[in-house]
Amino acid sequence: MKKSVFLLFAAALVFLSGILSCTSVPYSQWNSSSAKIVDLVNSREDISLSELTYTPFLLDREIIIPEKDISMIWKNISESGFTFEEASEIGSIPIGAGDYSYFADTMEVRTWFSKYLPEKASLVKVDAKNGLYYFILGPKKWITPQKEEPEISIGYSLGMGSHMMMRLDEDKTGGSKKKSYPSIYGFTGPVTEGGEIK
Amino acid sequence: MKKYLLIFVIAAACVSASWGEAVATVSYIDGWVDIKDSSGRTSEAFSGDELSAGNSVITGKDSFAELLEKSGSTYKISPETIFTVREMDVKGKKQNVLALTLGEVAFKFKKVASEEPMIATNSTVAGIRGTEFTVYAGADGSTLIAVASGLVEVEAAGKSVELNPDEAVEVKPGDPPGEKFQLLGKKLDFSTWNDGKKKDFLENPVAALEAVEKRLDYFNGKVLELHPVYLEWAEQLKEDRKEFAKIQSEKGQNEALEFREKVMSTSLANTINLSLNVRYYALSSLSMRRFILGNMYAEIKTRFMTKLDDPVYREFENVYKRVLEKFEDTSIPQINETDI
Repeated sequence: MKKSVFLLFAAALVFLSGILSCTSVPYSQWNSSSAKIVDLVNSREDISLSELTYTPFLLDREIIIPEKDISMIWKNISESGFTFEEASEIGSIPIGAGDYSYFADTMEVRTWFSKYLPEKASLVKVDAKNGLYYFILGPKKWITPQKEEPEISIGYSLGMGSHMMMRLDEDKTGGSKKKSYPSIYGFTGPVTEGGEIK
Repeated sequence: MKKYLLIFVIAAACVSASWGEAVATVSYIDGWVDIKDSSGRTSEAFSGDELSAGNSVITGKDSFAELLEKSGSTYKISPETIFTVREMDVKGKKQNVLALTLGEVAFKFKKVASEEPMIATNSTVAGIRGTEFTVYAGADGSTLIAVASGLVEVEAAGKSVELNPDEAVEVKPGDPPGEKFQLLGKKLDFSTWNDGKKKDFLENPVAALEAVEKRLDYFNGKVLELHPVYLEWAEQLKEDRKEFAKIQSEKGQNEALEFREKVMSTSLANTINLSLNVRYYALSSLSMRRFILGNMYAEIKTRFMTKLDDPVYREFENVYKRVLEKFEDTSIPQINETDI
């Protein structure tokens, strides 16, 4: 009896620590968030990527404003056949206004970082066989993805059962199956070790 | 120090009577339209909003806006358009410039006042003696102007053509106006024209980028030409202010006011007007860099994502870097954070 109470208590603690980590670490910094964006690029879901992208968007050292340019960017990337090849490391760190040099050290990029970087943004590093890339990710956004995702790709960072995370990450209101993703504010790469855009 | 002086002059210009006066009012909105004000803040536009110098109207994929001037003139702004009201000094007088960076605007002037309105795009400036015409600004920096009634004088690269009703002309960036042609009652289709421009750009991206470079060189050249003159007048104004204070303390208020009216007014006017024009050309350069050069880079970079060593991409990138370097050296020092 005591043993089962203890196990129940331990399970509750694990569950609670999972929930607490959700609230203390910004969504954009969850490993699962960056993995979802990498998955979208690799599965060429340009419409989903466009929906998740906010303007003014930072592409290398360019500040992109027109909506149609955002669609064009993700469509071209998809159609070029680009994927992150064998991404060995996908990690995210908090990013602040002083971190402009990951993109470019120009007055425009510095200003973009001080004016348009969202709160609790994260810098996601994707170290792939075909180069080193960075994303700037922001708060959670709900969209209906272009393609159905396998359930396992959601929520693995917390070590919880994927079905449990599905409940946190899915919204089936109105009949459409919406899922949460981080919003995208910037993308650059491939960059050299010295930080130069290739 | 120079920057502070420029800020001071702009602040002085701000208090002049015409600054901030509404140029037009938003009379109709369909879909989501943004207004970016001169402080750089972007907000959703609503009917009744006033548009003054320094403001931009940005329409999205499916949105449309109509602006109404006090005189009854209208500007119809089509989807995916960036339209800005700028200010510059023309022969000692402050004048509004209706600047179209991208997209399509149909202008219908009720009455042309003694001061002709100026319409500017990335590749041309048009003086209006006409009443109804449409201006198209393409993705490669080219402009197409089609006149329905009245006369429009189109100037680019030191040459001008006069368009009569039912005539149109295309101006490529950095080039003089092309041969004018008859519309024969047909309405031009901006989308088809712009698709053609995009096709030409994709066939030869380096040539298209070099054409944009030519026009940016013009804007940068104007900044380089006017900025030293502005600095000279700003220095003169500083001296005149010292002299004004000296006269005030030694000879009294009346003589000081006389000095201000006869001497200092010239340095003050020239300093303000030159600062306006330096800003005008720097902002024109920024606009072209942001919406034309930025679009070209994004288009080519993302198309070549898997073959960045391709010679076409390499050549494009070299020209792109060269253009940016000139822009950084010349126009950026005249641009503030609020412009970004």
